[in-house]
Amino acid sequence: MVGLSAQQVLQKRMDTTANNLANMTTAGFKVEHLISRELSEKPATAADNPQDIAFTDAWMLQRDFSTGPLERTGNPLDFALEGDGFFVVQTAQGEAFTRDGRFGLDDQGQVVTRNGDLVMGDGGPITVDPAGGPISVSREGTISQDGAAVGTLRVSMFQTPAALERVGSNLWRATDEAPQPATDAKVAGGFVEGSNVNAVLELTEMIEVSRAYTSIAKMIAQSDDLRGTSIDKLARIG
Amino acid sequence: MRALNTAATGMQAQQLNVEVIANNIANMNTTGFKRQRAEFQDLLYQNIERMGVQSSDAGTIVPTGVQVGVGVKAGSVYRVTEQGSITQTQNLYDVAIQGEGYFIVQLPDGRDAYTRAGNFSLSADGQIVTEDGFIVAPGISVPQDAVGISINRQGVVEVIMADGSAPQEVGALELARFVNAAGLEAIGDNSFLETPASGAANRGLAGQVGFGTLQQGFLEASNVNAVTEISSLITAQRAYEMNSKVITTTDEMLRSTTNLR
Repeated sequence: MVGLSAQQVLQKRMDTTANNLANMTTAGFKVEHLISRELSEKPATAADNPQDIAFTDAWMLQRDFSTGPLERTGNPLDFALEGDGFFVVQTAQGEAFTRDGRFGLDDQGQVVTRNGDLVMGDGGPITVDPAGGPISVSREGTISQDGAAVGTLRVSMFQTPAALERVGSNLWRATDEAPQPATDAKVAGGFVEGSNVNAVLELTEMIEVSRAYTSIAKMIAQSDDLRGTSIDKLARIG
Repeated sequence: MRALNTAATGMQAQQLNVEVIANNIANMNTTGFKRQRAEFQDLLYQNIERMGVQSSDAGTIVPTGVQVGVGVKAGSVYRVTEQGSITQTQNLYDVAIQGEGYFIVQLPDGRDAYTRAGNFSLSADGQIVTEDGFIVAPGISVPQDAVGISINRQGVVEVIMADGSAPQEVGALELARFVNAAGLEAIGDNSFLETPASGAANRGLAGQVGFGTLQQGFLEASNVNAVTEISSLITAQRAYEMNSKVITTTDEMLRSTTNLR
C-alpha cells in the first residue's frame, strides 16, 4: 500500500519531467518539479501499531523562475525580460501574464501576442502607426517609432510568482496576490527568452524516478512473495 | 501515464521545428526569401491540487499547488522579415528593396501578389515582368528601340533612346507595405498574398515615408543564416532524442508494473 502511494507520486513526477522536456524550446517556459510529502494520516492497519508507516503524496511544485537564455532574433517586436516580471496580456478570460515576448502587430497596428491577445501598455493597448518608420524599445520598455514614444510595455511582478496558475499558451494567471509594477525588470528588444529547462537535470531526474519506480515494483513483488511463502508454510504446519 | 502523451507532443513539436529549419536551409540561396521559425507554447495544465487551498486546520495554505502540464503545441510558424543582404548582379532588370515594402505582381487570375524578389525581365511586348512572366505593377512598357534603362532609388524607370535624346520617363515601380508583414500568406514562387492578419496593402512609391528605396543591378539575398540554422537543427535533434527517451523510460516503468504478477 505504501509502495503504491509512492508509485503514484513517482508517476506524477515523471509527468512533470516529461512536460519540462517537451517544452525545452518553448519561449519563456519555466521549469518545475514536484515535491512530495509524508502524509500524517496513518493507514487503518498501522493505527494501533507503533510501526513507522507513512504514505506519501504530491504536495507542491517547486518552480524555478530564473531567466532563461536570451537569444537574439533580429525581430524588432521580440522582447525579453531580464529580472523578475511578466508582460501583461489582455485575454478573453481577463488579464494574464507571460514571459514570452514574441509579439507582433495586428491589422490595426496594435501590439498583440501570437494568439492575437492585446499586450498591455501603461495606458492600455499599444498602437503603432502602420505607415510610420521602424520601431525601437528602450531598456525600460518604452516603445518608440520615429523617435516619438508610443507607449510603455507594462511589466508586473509578484512576491511569490510560484503561486501563479499556469493556463497554457505560455500564460499565467494571478491567484491570491495582486500584481505590482516590476522594479528591477529590464526589457531587451530584438531578443527572445528561451526555456530555462536544463536537459541534464531533467534526464537525471528521469533516471532517478524510473529507478525508484522499478525498485518499488520489485519491493511490492517481494512482499507478495513473502506473504505467499508464509501462507504456504503456515498452511503446512496446520 | 500522461508522460507518454506529453513526450509525444514534444516529439511532434521538434519534428515541425526540423521541417521549418529544413525549408530555411533549402531556400538559403532563394532571392528575397525570409526565414521562418517555429514557435511553441505549453499546453493546458491539469490542476491536481489547487494553489491556495488549506493544508492544515491552522489555516496554512498550499503556496503553489500541483499542476501537471500535458506537453507542448506549435503556436505559430513566424516569418522573420529582417532585411537580407544586398548582392550585386549587374543585371539592369534586377532591383533590390532596401528597407520596407514589397513589389506588386499582377497574377493571371487578377489578384495581386507581393514579392521581395526583384529579378525582373522584359516580356516579348516590352513590359517589365517577373521570372514567371507576370506583370509588375503598375505595368511599365519599355519601347522597342530603347538602348538602356535606368531605375532610380525612388523606382522611377527611365529609358535611353537610340537617337541620343534625353532619357524618357516611362513610369515608376509601385511598392506595397503591410501593418503586419508576418501575417502574409506565402504561396510559393517567392510570392505572398494579403490576408486579414496582414491588413490591407498600403501602396506607395519607394522613398516615401515608411517605404524602402530601390537599387538597380542588385538583388536581395535570403536572410537565412546557415550557422544559426545548423545550431537550431542540433538543438531540435537533441530535444527530439530526449523526448523519445522519456517514452522509453515511461515504458520501462509501466513494464515493471505489468511484471508484478
